[in-house]
Amino acid sequence: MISIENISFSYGEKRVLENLSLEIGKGSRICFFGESGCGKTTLLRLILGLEKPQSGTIKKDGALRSSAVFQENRLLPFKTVLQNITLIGADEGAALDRLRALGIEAAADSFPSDLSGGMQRRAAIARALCAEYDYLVLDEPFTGLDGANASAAARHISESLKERALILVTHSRAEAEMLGAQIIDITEKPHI
Amino acid sequence: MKQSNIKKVIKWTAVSLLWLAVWQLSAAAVGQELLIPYPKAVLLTLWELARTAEFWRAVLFSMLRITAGYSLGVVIGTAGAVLTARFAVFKAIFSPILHLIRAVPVASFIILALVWIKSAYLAVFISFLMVLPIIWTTVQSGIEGLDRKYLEMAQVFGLSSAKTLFQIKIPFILPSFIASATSALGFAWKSGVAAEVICRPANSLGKLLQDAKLYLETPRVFAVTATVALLSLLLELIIKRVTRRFSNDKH
Repeated sequence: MISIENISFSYGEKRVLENLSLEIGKGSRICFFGESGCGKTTLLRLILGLEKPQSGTIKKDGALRSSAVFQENRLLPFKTVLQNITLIGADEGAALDRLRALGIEAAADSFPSDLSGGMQRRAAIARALCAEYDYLVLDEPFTGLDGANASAAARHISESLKERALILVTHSRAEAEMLGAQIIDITEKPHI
Repeated sequence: MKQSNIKKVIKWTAVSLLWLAVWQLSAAAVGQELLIPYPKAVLLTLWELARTAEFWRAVLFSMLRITAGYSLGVVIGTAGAVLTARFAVFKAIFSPILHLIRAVPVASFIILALVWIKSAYLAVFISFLMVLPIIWTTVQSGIEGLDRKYLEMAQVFGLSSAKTLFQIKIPFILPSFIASATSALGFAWKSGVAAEVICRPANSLGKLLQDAKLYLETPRVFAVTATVALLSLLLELIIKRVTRRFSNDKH
């Protein structure tokens, strides 16, 4: 579904990705692992098309639709939680169902700034799951969530994925396991 | 009426009465109507003026001229800002012009423009010129200051360009646009009436003001000035009321 071939990326003098290759198949669940600054988030940005590789190629089968939970929540501050979700094309009923499943239905009409960090995170997860997507990108998705809420959210994400691909970045092996993702250490080579 | 509104009205009335008392006492202390007329004399003059067709014609045409210049400034300033924020070459071309307009005294523009433009339209041009750089620079920095993270979010979720513009870009820029559009209105009135005072077109508040000054009718100068201030405030209130429904305070 997504083929990454020999991509490299540097920030000035600092090379964060070097000749990285890997295949992400339909329905696969993978987790990029590695120490801070090794290029995990950069790799996600490359896959999402927010950056262009300085060398190598990323090929996608057709026009794949993406969805994401970014490292920051990126909820629009002037829209309510519900409006943030319906903005991406989800219908209101589906959005409320997601919020209910994540335990924040009561926050639907609140603005993000009126919510705790954990509630904002769950709102960002709800938005990502309400999108129509072929692959879901999660960058440290459970930041700010306590153990019970993180497990519940992981379960809900896992059930929602069905046959769609998951690309995860996390520092926690437990989180990767909760989502059933195969861990790939991007500092090791080769990755095929 | 809500209690907070009642408090506001009481506070506003108390402050107004305080300054009215200061005015009254100053007029009494100076004792010459030519220098400082009494509030009552100004009110009576205003009442007399309001009963003449000449006054209302002046109000109407001054308002038309200044509103036209202001509207042109807002529209062209916004369009220019979009252009300069998008293309570096346009920014390089127009930045010096905008700096120049800001730096040159309004009186210099009025005198220069008198040579080029009919006196009836001078206030339109001067109001436009004063509003243009305010709107242009504010909207431009609003666009440039847009947080790319939200635009990336829109890209990832496949939002259309129109949706990104109307649901993300414009709401982010709107509060600073409204603030600059409101303050620009005050500048439009000040500069527009200044242009009318210098070029004295028929049917204008500026001409009324200049005539009153020539004939040393100080109460009339005060009355016309008060009219200009009230009209500026009134239009400012209208702008705030109209834009409030588009604005939001959750930024």
